[in-house]
Formats: sequence, C-alpha cells, structure tokens
Amino acid sequence: MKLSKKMTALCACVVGVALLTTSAFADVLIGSGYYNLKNAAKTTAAKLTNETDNFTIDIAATVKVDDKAIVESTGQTKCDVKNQATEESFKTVDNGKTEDGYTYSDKEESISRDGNTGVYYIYKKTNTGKDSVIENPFNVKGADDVEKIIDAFVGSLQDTVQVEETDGKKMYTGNLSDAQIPPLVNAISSYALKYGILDKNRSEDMGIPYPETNIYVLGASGKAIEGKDGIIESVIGSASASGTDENGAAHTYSVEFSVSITDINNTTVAKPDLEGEDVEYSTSGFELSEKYVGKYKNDIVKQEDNSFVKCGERIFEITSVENGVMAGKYYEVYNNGYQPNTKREFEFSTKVTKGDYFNSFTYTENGEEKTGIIEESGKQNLMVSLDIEMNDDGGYRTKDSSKNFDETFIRVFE
Amino acid sequence: MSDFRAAYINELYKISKKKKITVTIILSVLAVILTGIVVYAINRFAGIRITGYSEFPTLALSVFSYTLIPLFTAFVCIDMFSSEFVEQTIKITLTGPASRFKVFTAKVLAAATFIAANLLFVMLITLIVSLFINGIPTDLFKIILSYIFEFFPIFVFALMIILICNITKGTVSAFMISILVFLLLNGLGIVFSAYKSFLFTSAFDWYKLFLGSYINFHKIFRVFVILCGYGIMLFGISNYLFDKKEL
Amino acid sequence: MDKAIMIENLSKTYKNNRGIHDINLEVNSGEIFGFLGPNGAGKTTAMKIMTGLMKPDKGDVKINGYSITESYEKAMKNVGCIIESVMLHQYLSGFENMKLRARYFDVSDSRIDECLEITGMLKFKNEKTKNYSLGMRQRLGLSMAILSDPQILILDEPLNGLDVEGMVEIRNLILKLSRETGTTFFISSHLIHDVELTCNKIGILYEGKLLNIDSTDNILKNYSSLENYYLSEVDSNV
Repeated sequence: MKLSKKMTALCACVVGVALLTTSAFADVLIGSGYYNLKNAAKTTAAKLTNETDNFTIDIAATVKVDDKAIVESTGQTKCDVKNQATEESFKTVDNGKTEDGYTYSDKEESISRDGNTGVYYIYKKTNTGKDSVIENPFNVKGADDVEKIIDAFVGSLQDTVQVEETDGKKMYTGNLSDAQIPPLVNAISSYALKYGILDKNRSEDMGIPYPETNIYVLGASGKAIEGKDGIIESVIGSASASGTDENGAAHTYSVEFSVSITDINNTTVAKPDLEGEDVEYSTSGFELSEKYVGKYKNDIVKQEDNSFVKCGERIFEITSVENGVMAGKYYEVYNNGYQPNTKREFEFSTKVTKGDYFNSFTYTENGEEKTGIIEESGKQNLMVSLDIEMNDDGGYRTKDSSKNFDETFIRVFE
Repeated sequence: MSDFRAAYINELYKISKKKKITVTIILSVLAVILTGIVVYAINRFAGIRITGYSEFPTLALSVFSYTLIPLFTAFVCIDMFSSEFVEQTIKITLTGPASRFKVFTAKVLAAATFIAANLLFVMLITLIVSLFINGIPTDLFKIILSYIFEFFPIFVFALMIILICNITKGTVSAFMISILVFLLLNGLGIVFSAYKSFLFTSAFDWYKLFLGSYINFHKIFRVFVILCGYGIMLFGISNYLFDKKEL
Repeated sequence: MDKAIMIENLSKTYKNNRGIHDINLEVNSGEIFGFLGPNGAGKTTAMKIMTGLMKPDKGDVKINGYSITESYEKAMKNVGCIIESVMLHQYLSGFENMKLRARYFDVSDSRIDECLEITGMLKFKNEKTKNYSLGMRQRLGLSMAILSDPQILILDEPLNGLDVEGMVEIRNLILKLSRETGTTFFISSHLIHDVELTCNKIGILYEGKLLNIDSTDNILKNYSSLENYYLSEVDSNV
C-alpha cells in the first residue's frame, strides 16, 4: 500500500508532466500566429537588407471620419541595397489640398524636390560612407527590449492572429474586437486620438467633428501575405475609434493603410536629371575652403565703471587653404593704455580634420602643441575655440574655463 | 462518500466562519466600485471610455485576475493548510473517520468552490456596477464564459499554493513563497516570452481567446491540456506530501 | 475474546535516536488499558501511530482487526481519540468545533449538547474556544471523542490540565462508559495513582520499550501498590 501511494503520486506526476510538456512543446513549436508573423517580419527585414539587390515599397494610408476620406496619402520608396541608394516620393491629399515631394539619397548626397516650388535642394553629405542608407530595423540597438515589451502587452492576443497557407503563400489575418483590446492600450490610443492626433484647432481646420467624450477604440484588423521566399509581400490594416462630439453625435474615426513590397531585384534607383532645373546646394557640417582665406576679428572688451570699453582686438588670419591644410596666424592688437604684460601670438600651418560633429586642427603655442576647433558662424564668420581637450564621448571642452570671449571671429572685409 | 461530503462541508464551513471571508467580500465590492468610479471619471473628465463596448465585467476581470483573486485564493489555501498545520488543528480532522486522501480532496474542492464563488461574486458585482457605466452589457454570454474560464488557471494557482503549503513550515513563509512564485512565473513569461506556454500563469488571461471574432479552438485546447497537466501533477505531488506528513 | 487493539513490532525512531522500539501488545474488547510511562517515554509517539497521525518505520497497529496504515477508515470508524493537548479552531465556538466532527457521524445537535453536558461544557458551548483554558479544551476534546459513541477511545493524557474535581469526574466517566457500553479504553498517563484507580490492564513504557503488561488485579496481588511495581519493573530493566 505504501508503495502504491508512492506509485500513484509518481504516476500523477508523470501523466501531468507528459500532458503539460507535450502540449506546451506543441504550442511553442506551432507558435502563435503573432510569433509567425513577427518572424516573417524579421525574415523580411533581414532578407531585404542583406540578400536582395533592390526592391520597392509602396505605402498608402487614408484617414476617414464617418467613412468620408479626410486625408489620403501615398508614397513609394525604391531601395537599391547594393549601391546604398534610395528614391522616395509621396503625395498627400489633405482636405482637397495636394502636396507632393521627392527625395533621392545615396552615400554622397541627397536631392530633394520641394513639391510647391519645384526647386531641388542638393545636400552633400560630408561624413560619407559611415552610415548605410538602408538598415535592418530589428538590428537597431534596443530593438530587443522594445520587442519584449510589445510581446508582454500583446499577451493572449497573440493567438488572435490567424495563419492560412495556400500555394506556399501564408496569409496572416487578425481581428481585434473592442472587448479584446487591453484597457491600457485603449486608454493610450484614445488619449492619443483626442490630444495628439486631433486637437481642437486641427479638427476645426480640417472641418471634422472633434471627439469630446466617449472615446474608445472600436477595433483593429490586419492582413499580411508572406510569399514563398519568406518575404512579406503586402500588409493591409485598419483601426477605428469612436467618439462623441460636443453636440452629442457619435462619429467614427478610422485609419486604413497598406504596404506592399514589389519589384524585388527589379527596381532601378536613378539619380534625377537636374539639367535645366532650379537647384540649391547645401552641405552638412562645415568645410573649410579657399573662400575663408581672410582676416577675422574678435573685440577685446573690458568693463569700466558702468560702461564697456574696447581694449583691442583678437585677430585670426587665414592666409591659405590648400587640400585641407590651413595656414595663418593668431595675434592680439591692444589700444593705448591697455597693453598687457604678454600678448598671445602664434602661427599655424595645419591640416583641418573633419570630425563627426566639428572640425579640429592643431597648432603650436609657446612650444606646446594644442588643439583648436574651427566652425562656421553665420555665413562668413568663424567660430574658433583655442586650447581645447577632446572628451571620450566625441565632444570637447575648453581647458581654460576663465576665458571671457565668445569665440566668434567676424570677417573683416578690407 | 458521506465522510467525504462531511469533510467538504466542514472545510467550507471553516472558510465561511473566518473573518477573511468578510474582508474578501468587502474588498471585492470596494475594488469593483473603485474601478467603476475610475472608469466613469476618466470618461467624464478626459472623455476616454476605457472599456469601450467591451463590458466592464471583462475589464474588471483583466485587473482582478492578476491581483485580488489570486491573493484571496492564496489566503484561503494557506488558511486551510499551513494555518492548520501550525495550529495543529489539523489533528482533529486527521483523526476523524475520513482518510487523508478524502480530507485532502475535500480541501482542494473547497478551495475550488471558494474560487468559483469569488469569481461569481465579482462577476455579479461588476454586472451591477456596469449598469451605471455602460448600460446593459450586450454580450452576457461571453462575459459568463470569460469568468468560467478564468476559474481554471486560478485553480491551478491554488494547487501550486497548496503544494507550497505542504513543503513550507509556516504561514508567512508559505505566503511569501507563493507571492514570489507568482511574480517569478509572470516575470519569466515576459523574459522568455517564446516559451511562456510552459507557465500556467500565462493562461491567466486566456479567456481573451474567446472574445474575438476568430476563435482559435486548437490553441484553447492546448492551453486546457497544459492546465490539466499542471493540475494533475500538482495534485499528485501535494496529495503525496499531505499523506506522508507526520504530526 | 475480541482483540480491540493489536500492536505488532511497532518501531519508530526519530532523528535524535529516540522513539519507540519493537512494541507488541494487545488490548481486548472492554478493557481499560493504561499506558504508563514517564514523559518522553514514547507514549504519544505510539498513540500518534495508532491514530494514523504518524507512519511507523516498522510494524503495524490493528484496530478491530483493520490495519491503521492500510485501511485507515475501517480501523478508525469506531474510534474516538485525544492526542497530545487538544487543539481547537479558535475562531469557532465550542459547539461549532463539535459540529465539525458531528458531520461525519450524522449526529444530531441534541447529542452534541448531551456530550457537552457529560463533560460539563454545555454552559460554554457558544463561547469562542480562543478563550478556553487548558482544562476546558481537554473537556471539549473529550466531548468530541465520545460524540459518536465509539467502541474504542484512545486518550493521550486525558487528565492533562484538569483540577482534582475534573479528574474525578473524568475518571468516573471512563468507568461508567466502560461499565455501561463496554467501551474499550487505551489511556496513556504518567499519573500512577490515577492509572491504578482507572485501568484494569497496565503496560509500562520506558525509554521507548514496553517493559511488561499485566492486569491491575495481578499486580496488586504481588505488590502493595502500582508505584512499587512500576519502580521494580523500571529498576530491573535499567
């Protein structure tokens, strides 16, 4: 009898564990529709950024109030992964007004067209080659944590995603009724709708009723199709919310969107032909060029009684800029009666190094090698910081904290 | 069988005579009313209707299934096992005419009855409160179904606590370990979300599987089998420990 | 004669090496068996095993022919008991505590009152037992034990906490039940005088071992008192 009690307990344990593990393993293996969809999204991102040469993404979104379209927007992005170039264009119809735009970018430059004026802005990248134009969003730092938080939020709703497989293609569909939406998600979305997406002024501008009370999410639905190669070809989704305006009438606010990925390895990204177009150039960061050769001054000012008195001038003179090498001198000129004991003065001929955020150079003053920073200030002026120290995080700080000038040197035109 | 019935009635009788049952009732009512007021106030002052058409009772369930209901369940189970071990009152029951297996089963069944009663009570209160907030709930059937299904994971949790009571020596340690296990299992479910099917705590909101337009019956079946597996295992081990216990 | 209680080779050793060793004894139906021994001799251990609260390492106990380890329910069906001090549910009244046991036997409320009357507890029946004294708890325990009119009563130190008056009352109750209903008693005690007055068969348990069993009449034939017998038994076995 003793043995049989032990056996019974053991049997219960074995049966329980067997049921539990087989079912749980099956559950993990089958995975929820949500997990499969998530993996499909990851596969898609990975394949598109690593295994394909190029592709096109089309996006369309519509905002409706009581089934009347208020804003319609379409966009197309062509990506050339091989050559790291993209072409983006979009068109928005907002309450009857049409707006469009176009941007081309590659490692060297980005060209964007203002839809209203037709002017092309060319923006030269100075930090070429560092950032890739197309990146896998799942590899971004912190993506794992975000994924876990979303998983926890989704909870049992994971299983509302349904998967159907036909002809090697998988179709994911999901429908959330209002009863399934977690209260917190409902509250946050409703709050966002009332105070973020639509505020009172905006809804008046757009001529749509503003939801005052009883705002809640009516439901959401989505559908995604995964192709044979594991890449999601298209996604369509919609979400809607209800709210009552100040007159007590209920309105439905909904968003519909669709995304499709097409022309894999069949997309050509071409730089626009700017022949005969209105073009404006700009560069990122500061690039020292010959046009900066000249004299720059910064007043030395002192406070006497209740007035400012000019004592002299700091002069920063660039005599030549060639292949990134800048030559010139720094000196100080004092007015009579304000001569100091020592005047700061040095000459330099140094290469200007382009950093991530600023340009630096080295110079020798009193036999000591020091570092300085040179930046543009306004159009023609310079900002020069002398005797600085680089920080580990890529920034810098001035060693002499007692300096009492603003480091802006005004171009002197003679 | 009459022994078993007497043991079962005795357990229910003991639960009902404790002050904790009054506290449970009062706290449940207060919590439901408080939740109702919060929901009402948010709509009144911020214009956001937290529950949407989703009925207030399901909203309340999603909150209470992780808080009050497991807490009350823990109290009752610990009272039935740990407290009686510590106070040695279990000797009266164990020298009675019912075998230990019957006593154990009666206690487990009493815990199940308590959970069912607690859920039923909360459901009724929320239904009454929802009349003041949302009007008459539109889908009573789904609400009742949700509360019925919430019974199973909470019952498995009760069996877990009973196992803990049969391992630990005091009431405080049993309570602390129960809480820790509850938090730990929920935490593990978040960290290893891919494998959370193995944890019964991830089924605490499984009633949501019924609420949508698409009902994944396969998934519901799998979760049910997992809960059954847990139930059988925990019952078997606890019963063995209870049987072996020397007083 | 019917064997009400049979203890065979009963052994149980605790981690500290104490316990009971190889106990064999029989109690016939209708006998009042006195289990005599000093504190810590293993009386309670033996009685816990007899009532199923503990499992023996070796041996078995048969009550009315049924093994306590194998068919607990049949063995305990006609047994009432008090083991160690009586522990009651403090949040319940005396009557409610009785009620818990009454449900198993389908006993009426008037029978509960009757048993409470017998032990003198009727006037305290609606009081919460957390206010009870040791003696009151003992009396209520006794009421619970006799509630179902059991054929066998196993009482561990039943006079614990009672005053002289209480002791006399309970002793008389035992004798009365034995006389009128033929109830078999298995009573442990360390009070030699009390055992001498109550029991008609005596076993001495010393350091976990059963020294001797004899009828009270035989013992008193050879010794002037039970105390002398006890001392000589203990002496000859040390």
